[in-house]
Amino acid sequence: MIGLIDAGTGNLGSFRNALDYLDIKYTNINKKEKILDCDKIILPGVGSFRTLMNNLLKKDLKEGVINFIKEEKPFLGICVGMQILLQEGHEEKKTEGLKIFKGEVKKINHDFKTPIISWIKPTIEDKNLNDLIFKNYIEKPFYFLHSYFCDMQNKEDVVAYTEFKKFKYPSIIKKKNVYGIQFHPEKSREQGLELIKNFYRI
Amino acid sequence: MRIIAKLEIKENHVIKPVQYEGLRKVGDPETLLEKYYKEGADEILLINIVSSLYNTSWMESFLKKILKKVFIPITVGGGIKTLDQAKNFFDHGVDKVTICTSLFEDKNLIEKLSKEFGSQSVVASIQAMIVENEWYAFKEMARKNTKIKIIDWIKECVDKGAGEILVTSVKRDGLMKGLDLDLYNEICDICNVPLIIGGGFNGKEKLINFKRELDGITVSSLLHYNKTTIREIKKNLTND
Repeated sequence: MIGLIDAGTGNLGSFRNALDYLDIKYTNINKKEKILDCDKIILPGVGSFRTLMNNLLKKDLKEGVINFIKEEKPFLGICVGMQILLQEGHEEKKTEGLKIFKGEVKKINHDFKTPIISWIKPTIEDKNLNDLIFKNYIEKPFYFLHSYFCDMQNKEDVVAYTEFKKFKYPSIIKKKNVYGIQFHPEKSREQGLELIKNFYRI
Repeated sequence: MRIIAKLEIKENHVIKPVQYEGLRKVGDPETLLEKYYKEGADEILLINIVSSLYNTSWMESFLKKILKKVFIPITVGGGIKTLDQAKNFFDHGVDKVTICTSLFEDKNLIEKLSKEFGSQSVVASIQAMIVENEWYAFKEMARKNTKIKIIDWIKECVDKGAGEILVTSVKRDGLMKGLDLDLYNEICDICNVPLIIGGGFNGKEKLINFKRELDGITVSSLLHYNKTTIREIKKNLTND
């Protein structure tokens, strides 16, 4: 069973709609015991780095999620759900992340307005083209909405980059069975739904 | 730049006012929405023209249906006054709410919404009209001048936490004779969040005289009356 983490930051509706459309059965994870029922987990990102981390702590889900990932079961973090996989974030104030990936989440500070709200085509590193997540990959733009980005320490963890107005940043990261996606596949037409389907099939 | 298909809705019909007047029916909401989705709209903007009980409950059941098959960002507006109303939309999978009139009645609404749901989900909508050479923010379908200068109002909305600003030129809306260059050039420098403009887009205009690159345009009449397609619009814009 695939689990959808409900950290209480609201708006799981989009993801539920996408999973229903794909005919994928899922369960909501709102307490740690439910993690044990799942062989795959999706963490949709809503809210800030800090509120999401605080909510995981409050709901006593943090340790469970880290253990799940340590057991190398497939995990997918979306947007802020990707960002909290890093060591720390700086949204509101400095907050510790889940520390699965080395790196920090920083405010985008470039010569354009934030948030970035745009449909952008990511560039997948050649060595990753055969990754299961890219099966039947549709080379079209995906929907991005964010003001912070993942500043990764290990370049080998980066599967795809995105460039917006000459600012290049990681848009898909991966380590063993953990994936992080900066854009919103659940709001990115068939190309986004395909990625969700692939994750389900891993 | 995003092309946002705007559908104004009254009693299960898409309607299209001209300069915020008249309620001419132009089609079926579900048919049109799916058509614009398939044509490549970057986002959908749904506006409840009348916030009656009937319209509100109709919108809810409409969204339930549509959000299960349309996978792009969707913004809903019209008559939203409370956090509960907004939450209800977000729970269904709506991405953002847009508010105009209520922002003048409850000056803390943006702050409350952005704190609860994140500023990315709050779009402040502004009906702009010029009075004696000054741009003002209007409300209630452009019936009332709030007497607040548009520049001041944009600043206030952004300060309070609006994630995006949507400005419509009332006098141009529905005419398809071109976007309001003067209005845009007046406001684009002071808005430090994404700025969407609407009202009068004709699909073919070249945007070189716009002081800054636009973040997004709302399009309605052009699409409702089959004057062009979203694909064509995008092609013209990239050839600029």
